[in-house]
Order: sequence, then structure tokens, then C-alpha cells
Amino acid sequence: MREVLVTKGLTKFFEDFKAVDNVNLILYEGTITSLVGPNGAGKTTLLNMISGVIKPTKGKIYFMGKDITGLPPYKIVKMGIARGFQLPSVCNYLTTLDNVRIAILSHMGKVRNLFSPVDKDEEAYNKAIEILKTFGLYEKRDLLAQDLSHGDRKLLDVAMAFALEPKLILLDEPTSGVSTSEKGKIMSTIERVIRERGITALIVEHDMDIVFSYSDRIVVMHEGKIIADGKPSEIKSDKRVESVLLGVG
Amino acid sequence: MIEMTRFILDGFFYASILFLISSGLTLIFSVAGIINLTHGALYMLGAYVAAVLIKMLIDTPYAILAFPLAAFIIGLVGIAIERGFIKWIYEREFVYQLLLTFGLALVLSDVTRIVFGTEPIYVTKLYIYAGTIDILGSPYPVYNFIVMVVTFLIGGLMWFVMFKTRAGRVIRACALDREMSEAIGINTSKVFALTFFMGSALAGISGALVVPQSAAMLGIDADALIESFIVIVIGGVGSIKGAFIGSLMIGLIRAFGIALFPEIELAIVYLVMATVLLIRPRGLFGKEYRVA
Amino acid sequence: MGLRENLVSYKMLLIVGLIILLAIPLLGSTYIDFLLSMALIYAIWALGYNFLLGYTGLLSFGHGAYFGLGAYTVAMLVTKYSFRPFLPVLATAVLVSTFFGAIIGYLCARHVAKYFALLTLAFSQLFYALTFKLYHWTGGSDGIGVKPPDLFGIKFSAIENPVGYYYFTLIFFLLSVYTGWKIVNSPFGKALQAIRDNPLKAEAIGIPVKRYKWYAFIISAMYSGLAGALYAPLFGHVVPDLFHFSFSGEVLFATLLGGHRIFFGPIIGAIIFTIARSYITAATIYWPLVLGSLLVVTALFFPHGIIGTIYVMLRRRGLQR
Repeated sequence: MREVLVTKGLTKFFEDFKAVDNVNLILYEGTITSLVGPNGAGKTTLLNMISGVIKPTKGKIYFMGKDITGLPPYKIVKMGIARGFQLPSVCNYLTTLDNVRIAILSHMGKVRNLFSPVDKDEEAYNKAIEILKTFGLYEKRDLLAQDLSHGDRKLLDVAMAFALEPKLILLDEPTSGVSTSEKGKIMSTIERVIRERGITALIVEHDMDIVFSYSDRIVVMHEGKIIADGKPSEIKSDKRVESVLLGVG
Repeated sequence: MIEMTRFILDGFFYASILFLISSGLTLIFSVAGIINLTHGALYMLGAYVAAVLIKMLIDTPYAILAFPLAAFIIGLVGIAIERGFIKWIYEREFVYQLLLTFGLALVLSDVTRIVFGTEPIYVTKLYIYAGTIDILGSPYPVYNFIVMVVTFLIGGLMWFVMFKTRAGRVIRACALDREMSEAIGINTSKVFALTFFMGSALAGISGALVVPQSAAMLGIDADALIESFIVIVIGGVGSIKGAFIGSLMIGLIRAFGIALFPEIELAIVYLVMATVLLIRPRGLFGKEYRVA
Repeated sequence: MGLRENLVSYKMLLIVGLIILLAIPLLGSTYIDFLLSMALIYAIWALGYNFLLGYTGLLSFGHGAYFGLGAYTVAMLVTKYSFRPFLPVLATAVLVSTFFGAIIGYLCARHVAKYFALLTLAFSQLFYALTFKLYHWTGGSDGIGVKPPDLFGIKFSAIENPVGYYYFTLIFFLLSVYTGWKIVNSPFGKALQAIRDNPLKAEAIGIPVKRYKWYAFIISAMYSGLAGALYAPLFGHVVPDLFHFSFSGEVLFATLLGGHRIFFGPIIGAIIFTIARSYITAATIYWPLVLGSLLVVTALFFPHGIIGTIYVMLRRRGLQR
């Protein structure tokens, strides 16, 4: 199967603290990989390095065969990687519609446009509406993002990532802050979109029930290192993993 | 050779003054997260207050007291500003913080003008009184040396307070992590007020020390603010070591610049700043900060 | 919906405003023509300034620089080099300020907001210092008296022809508002707003944040240069104080007075500011004190500005229906 993302010896030091320790990870096309582990294991830092927000101290990252180590985030996005954030990251003073729309316009390469009104762009508008409907935000499209509930802001953050029509999507706890009853529904929407479009996904998640329900593969991190990497059935029976994840989810 | 030595000594003199102002600015920024634009105006006010005090006490041995007194008064002004105005906007978007301190700077600067008048105040008597000392056969003002020594002492005092006293440890804790500090029971409100006192006092004393050598006059607020800021930008925000190195650099550049290229002296300083920023956006010793 | 009703009355207000602006000279007062010309110039400046503040979220303390550069360019061309055709002179002035805006913007825009603000201040003060030092060229603290330029070969003096100069300024004002509106509602404009609200997320959706901040800076410098260029013949004199940070404080205040979060805020703010200032400076010598106090009050109590606060109130009501 095609290798979409490969990291080699990826390491990150914050002063003396080793946040990520020699991570070798391969993500295969069209698969959903869950990244699990206790808080502080280095999961978000790993996502930050892949998406370009932080520069690795050591190691390399390859996307579709190209070296993307240390590239600025917007270039990495243009190459086809999108990401959702742990704390919902949206544009507060833009409407829900505009939030998604600007992501779409960016993806369509239209943000350089200085003169034609955003409202008149039908293609962007239709695409935005489609995404809003998929994620159940259509009714709230005219609300300012700051007026949305936490769960909706989380959804918007994720929706904007999907609006970029990425090849690889990195999601950081997409269901955190969402009520338990909603979690399943949201996760199944996300899974459906991923499967339909053949997107490769790396999802950080704490809720192990959810993780086991959709993952093709599970990677377990602890203290910056990967301590287990395999199919859900393998991970379930791994004793080391059990002790590390005790108390999680 | 004699000239070189003069320039270097002048450079150290400027550097001393700059170091005092910049450390005050960077202290306030590290702890309270505020870029205090009133800092320049406080410097100017310190100069005027000291000038007036010195003039009053010039014929007595108490003239020396003018300096710590000026520092103390300016420190109080700093607390007043912090308690009266700044404390309300800690949680707000920093646009408003800058706007507030900017407005306060304008007010303070104009109040200084109203109270002290538009004419500069000179106290060269004190400068001359300190006498000169022979350096390589040519006389150099003792006063400049005194300033350097005083700066050194103040620097040492600051170090002692920050690293060897409980108050210092508390301040440093707040600088590192305000929320955590509050969570363990530190009264951050008091810490901020204290920090503003110290930072403002530093601005005040540096203004005071400059007066005998030049004068208390209008307009030095903007220059002081800009230069101390350049020092911090070059040296890296939040770093005393950076303020030290930065002050040294700018002080020496100024000294050589004024003497050798008087027309574009200030421009050289800005050029250095621009170069440093191009190569190393966070300054020589600044902490790494994330994208955007 | 309540908001839509407001939209219609919004358009009505604009038309009424336009009619008023067109009719000002009919009042027959030279002073008012002069004052409103100045108000429109400040409005252009504030509009450009708000690209940076309201739409990209960058606070500049040194925008007097680009205004000053535009003004000085006009002064030098017309007075010192006797080059008088106004339109080419205006164009040159805008080019000069845009050029420096591009350089300084490049150096400043790469930085986080706190550094940015003070860097812009530092560069403006640099121009202030240079203007004094290069006094053979710039006239030093005396500044340069601005002789009247020519428009299509005929002498075009703001003093002799205040009505003409007013309409001339009005044309550029309307052009600025029109292009500004277009830019703000374009994909680029939305991208700037995304940067303002969340630079991390903006970068995460593929917007090259640093580069776009730079573009916003350039556009902003362009408008400021135009304002300064129109200012020079009107005021008749250019002085280094244009580069001083207290002058930059004026456009900041005018913008915030109106409200930096909506398009017309700065325009209204600038007009009110100019008119108010002419009355205040006539009444007292403590202008920096007054300005500073007003800034303090605005920072503490009116973060949305006048128009902004009204808008927020209307929006809240619209939502509740």
C-alpha cells in the first residue's frame, strides 16, 4: 500500500525536555490511524511537527515522497495536509459560513483576489454550504464563530480542515468537549467523510471505545516514544499498552 | 588612541543609562506582559524631578539624595499608573494595552511640560563639581565613571533581589507562569504593582543620572523609549543578559557614531536593529516563540 | 430579520451621507470647506490604517511616516524642484510612501504583534530624526512651505480655490472608499480577517500569513501616502512633526473613535475627530493631554468605538428576533 507519510527519527527538544523521541511512523493511503497515549506523551507535538507549526530538532518528515521537514505551515497545507486543533481554532469575528468559505477559497487558490466580492463566488459558496450541511452547521451559518457552542466550534475547526480537500488529515481530539451522546454521531460523520474521499487520517483520541470502533491501526505513544504500533486486535492484547493507558478513556 | 578611549568610555556611559532603562522595561514586560509605553515619559519625569531636587539641594551635601529620591518618586508614579489604569486591562487584547499606555504616555509627557515648562533645566554644577580624572593624559569627567559604578551597583542589587530574596523568587515565578503562581497562593496583583514600582524606579533613576551630564528637557521621552526598545529587541525580550549586551552595543555605537558621523548617528542604530531583526527575529537572546 | 432591515437603512444612510458631502460647499464657508477637506484626508488615512488594525489585527504606531512621506514628496517636488503638475506629483508621492511602506513593512510584518507595534514606532522616529539631520534638503525643523501645484496647467491653490480643492479631495476620498470596500469584501480581505482572528488557523488553511501581513501593510501605506499628498497643498506647510509618534496617535485614535471593527467606522471617526480637534485646539494649548486622555478613556471604556458600539448593539438586537 502506498506510503503517504513517513517520519524518520523525528525528535523534538524543548530546552532540556524531550517531547518527542525518535519517532518512526508510516501512514498508509486511505487508512485511519489513531494516535493514543497519556497526556504529555508528545502526540500534539508530533502533529505540530508534521503540520509545520514547530520545527523538529532532529529527523525528517516525508509526505508523498517529498521532504517537508521544516517547511512553513501554509506550504504544507498547499501540498495536501490539513489539521484540526485540540482547542478549537476558528476565526471568531467571521461567520461560520465565512470560516469554511475562506478555507475553500484558500484551497482554490483564490485568496490573492483583491477585487471580486466573496459573496458573488457561487462555486465557493456551494462548496461551503455542502460542508456545513455535512457537519450539521448549516443552520448556524450566519452566526459569528464566537457565538457558537464549544462543540460546534470544534466541528467548525474540523470542517475547515476538510474544506481543504486534503490527502492527509491530522485531527487532535476531534470529539473532546462534545457531549457523550454526540460523540458517536460526530465521529461517524468524520469517519464517513474520510472513507468516502479516501483521505488518510491520523487522529489523536482519548476515548478508547471510539478508537477501537473505527481505527485501521493504532499507534501508542508514551513519554515521546512510540511503544506500540499495530492493528486494534494486536494493541488490545498488548500488556505494556494496557498499563500505560490505564486511566485513559 | 586617546580619542578611542574617550569614545569607549562614553559608550560605557550611554550603555549604563540605557541598561537601567531597558532592564526596567524588560522587567515589566517579563512579569506583567505589558509593553509599557509610558516608560520613556517616566524617564523624562525622573530627569525633571531630579533636576529640581538637585537645584534645591545643590549647596548642601544632601544633593546626592536627589537621585534615589527621584527614583522612589517615579516608582510611586509607576504604581499609581498601574493600579489606576493598567490593572484593568491585563486580560484584554493587547491592542488596548498598547493604546492605554500610549495615551498615558502622551498625558504624562504633556503634564511634565505643563508642570516644568518648556525650557530645559541644567545642573552642570554637579557635573563639574565631580571633577575630571586623567586618562592617558587627557581629562575625563569623573561623573561618567560614577554613573557606571552606580549602574553596576544597581545591577548587582537587582540581581541580588531577584535571585537571593524571597520577593525576587516570587516575581520570577509570576514571570514564568502567572496562573500557576496564583494557584499556589501568590498575590499576583501585589507582584505586578511591585514590578511596576521597580521598573519605573529604574526609568526614574536613569533619567536622574543623565541630568548632570546633559539636561532635563522635553522630547527625551520618545528617544529613551525607542532606544530602550531597540536594546530589548536586539537583546531579546525578557532577558537581562540581552539588555546588558544590547545596551553595550547601542551605547558604543552611539558614542562612536556621534563623534565620527554626527549626521547619521541615529540611523546607524536603526540599521543595526534592522539587521539583527532580519537575521534573528527574536533578538540575540530572546526565547523561541511559535509561528504567528 | 432585524439585520436585513438595518441593511436597507444602512444604504439610505450612505446615500444621505454622500449627498451631504456633495453639498458642503453650498454652505459658502471657506473655513468649513477647508475643515471638511482635512476631514476627508484623515478619513482616507484612517481607512488605510484600518486595513492594518481592523482587518489584519496589526497595531502600528508609526503610520505618520507614510503620511509624512507623501506630504514631503509633494512639498519637495512642487516647492523645491518646481515640478507642479498635481496628478503626476500625487502619483509620485503615493509611490514613495508605498516604496518605504514595502521595505519597512517587510521588516516589521514578520514579527509578532508586540514587536510589530514598536518597530513601526521606531521606524517612524527614524524618519523624524532624519528629517532634522538632513535639514539642507528637508528644511529641518522649519519644514517646507508648499507652493500651489498645477492642475491641467492651471494653478490649483487650496487657499484661492477651496471649493475646487474640496471636490478634488472628495473624488479621491470616494475612490478610496470604493476600492477599500472592494478589497475588504474580496477573498483577500477575508483572508486578512482570518489572520486577525486567528493567525495560527489562517496559516493552517494555507494562507501565507507573514506575506499577507506585508501586503496589508503596503496597501495601508499607499492610502496613507495619498492622504499625506493631498494634505500638503491644503495645509500649505510640512514639518517633521508629521513623523513624530504623537501624530501617528491621531490616526489611531480617529480609527478607534469610529470603531475599528466595521468598514465605515474609521471614516466617521476621522471626520468627527478632525472637526472636534479644530475646536479643541482653538480652545486650549493642551492638545497632547486631551488626546492622551481620550485615548485612555477609549481604551478603558469604549473598545468598539462609537459606530462599533452602535453596530454591536444593533447586531445583538437582530439576533434576538
